[in-house]
Amino acid sequence: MKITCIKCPLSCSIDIKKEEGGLKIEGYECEVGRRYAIEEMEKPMRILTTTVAVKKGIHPVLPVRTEKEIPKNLLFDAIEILSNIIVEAPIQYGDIVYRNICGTGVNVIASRDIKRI
Amino acid sequence: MLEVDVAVIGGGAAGLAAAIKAAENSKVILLDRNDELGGVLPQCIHDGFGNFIFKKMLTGPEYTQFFIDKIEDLPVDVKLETTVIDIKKDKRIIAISREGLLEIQAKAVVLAMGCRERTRNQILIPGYRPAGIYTAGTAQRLINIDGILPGRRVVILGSGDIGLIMARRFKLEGAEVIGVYEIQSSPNGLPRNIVQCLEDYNIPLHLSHTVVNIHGLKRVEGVTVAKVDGNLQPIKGTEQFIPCDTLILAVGLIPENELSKEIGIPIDTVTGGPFVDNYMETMIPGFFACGNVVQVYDLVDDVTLTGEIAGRYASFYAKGILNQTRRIPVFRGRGIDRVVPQFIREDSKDVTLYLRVKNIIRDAKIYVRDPNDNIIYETKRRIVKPAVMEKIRFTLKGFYGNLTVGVER
Ligand SMILES: Cc1cc2nc3c(=O)[nH]c(=O)nc-3n(C[C@H](O)[C@H](O)[C@H](O)COP(=O)(O)OP(=O)(O)OC[C@H]3O[C@@H](n4cnc5c(N)ncnc54)[C@H](O)[C@@H]3O)c2cc1C
Ligand code: SF4
Repeated sequence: MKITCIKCPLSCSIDIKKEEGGLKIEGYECEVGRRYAIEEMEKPMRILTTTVAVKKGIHPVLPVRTEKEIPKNLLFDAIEILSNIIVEAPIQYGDIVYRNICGTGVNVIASRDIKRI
Repeated sequence: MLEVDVAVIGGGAAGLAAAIKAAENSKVILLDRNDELGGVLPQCIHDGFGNFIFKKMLTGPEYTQFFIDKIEDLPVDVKLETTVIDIKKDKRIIAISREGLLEIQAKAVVLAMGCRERTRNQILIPGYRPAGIYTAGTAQRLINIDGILPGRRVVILGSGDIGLIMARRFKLEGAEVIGVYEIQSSPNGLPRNIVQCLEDYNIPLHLSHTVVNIHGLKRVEGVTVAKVDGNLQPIKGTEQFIPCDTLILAVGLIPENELSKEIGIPIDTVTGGPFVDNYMETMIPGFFACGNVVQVYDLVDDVTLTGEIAGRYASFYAKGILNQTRRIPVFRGRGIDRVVPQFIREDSKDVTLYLRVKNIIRDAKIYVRDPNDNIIYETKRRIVKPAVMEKIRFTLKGFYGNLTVGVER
């Protein structure tokens, strides 16, 4: 598969293939890129940011994030869960909105304070 | 009439940093027309902020929260829902607030009004004016602050970071994103955003394409897109109708300088912002500027840094302890599109310059020359690109006269 390395502005285009006896990787210019390509192939990870609904807040939605990266293939499952969450103000920055999302062990936390009206 | 040492206009990343810094030794007022602090940051809910200052990737709201918490502990007079409508040369400020007209006499002023988005009028797409056309920032605000999804079938014009981020955002909210159309032959946004906002979600990117017509009377019913040639002109016969209910314009930002112009502050036509020196002082003494009002910065960290500089020296000016020295101009040399600051104070030591190059160059050398063509600073980059702002720092050792910045292979 083709991977654009995002680790520095050079944006190397890396080709990575599984072959007998290991991986065939071409097009990277440094070790950081090589490791990134392997990770992108084997287990790409992403931070998820979105909003959840808030009751009695100064805004109707609260921005949230996964505390750490989660596997990329779980992004839509996580979004689905979070689209059904409703929290109630007041909210404080860092409050846990959802624990252990999709069994990843990663919590979803509030990105900001939301005062109650 | 209120009397203060320093008045900061705009409470985004730049204004917050300026007010916090200035409050270390002077009486500060901070004015913003929004109902909360942070400028555009509260609506930028994605991560990607603060990598340099906090050494981690924060979301926009998280980044702002730090500064909001800080300013709440300081004796800064924060006035929200207060729009500045006029600033006089003698630093008298007129604003409209809920309480009515407000008059403030400041000793120094920091301009931190940020930028605004280019709209359809500025890029001239023909067609009717149906509902369903939004700038990316407006759509971002609707979704991330007001909780409203403004469309279900979306076309995005422009591949800058804001366009890419909004493509992902619409997708995550359940809308169909038909594609991102970019008139240039290479994308404008960071590779990270191309990968994580488009490729991750199978959203197509069409380079060398633009929207040539918008259809629909009441609501957008579709757009016509076409391929463009080397001069960015649509090619006849390549037009294609795309049904959609929403067109998102992510076609660039312009520094917001109506107020600055009325004061008579000289504006650099290249950046769209005031000429400044390395203390972020404009060409009118006592008026400072920082953040996106000066030029559109790539990173909020740099916006914060310019805010701190402006705030510090504005407070020095207000206290009467800022030396007035001569300024050395910094010229754009070979391969350089823009440089900020455009002037350096003669008594400075460490200098930071932000620049954009005109073309992609691999194994580039960025240099600074004095009037006799002596190289006083040189640095290498594996690659420089117009889309990525470069930052160079060097130390002045004595007087040089005019400086010229250039880039070559
Ligand atoms: C969609 C998007 C994504 C971004 N992504 C990233 C990223 O991933 N990483 C990163 O580092 N940076 C990112 N940036 C850039 C960063 O957010 C900005 O550079 C920074 O926040 C700009 O701050 P500012 O204070 O200069 O301007 P602003 O935030 O625009 O603040 C200006 C303030 O001035 C106020 N104002 C203007 N005129 C008046 C007036 N007449 N009276 C009173 N108040 C006034 C406005 O209400 C506003 O609050 C992104 C920007 C956008 C828009
Ligand atoms: S492989 Fe190395 S040099 Fe190439 S883009 Fe990635 S980090 Fe940069």
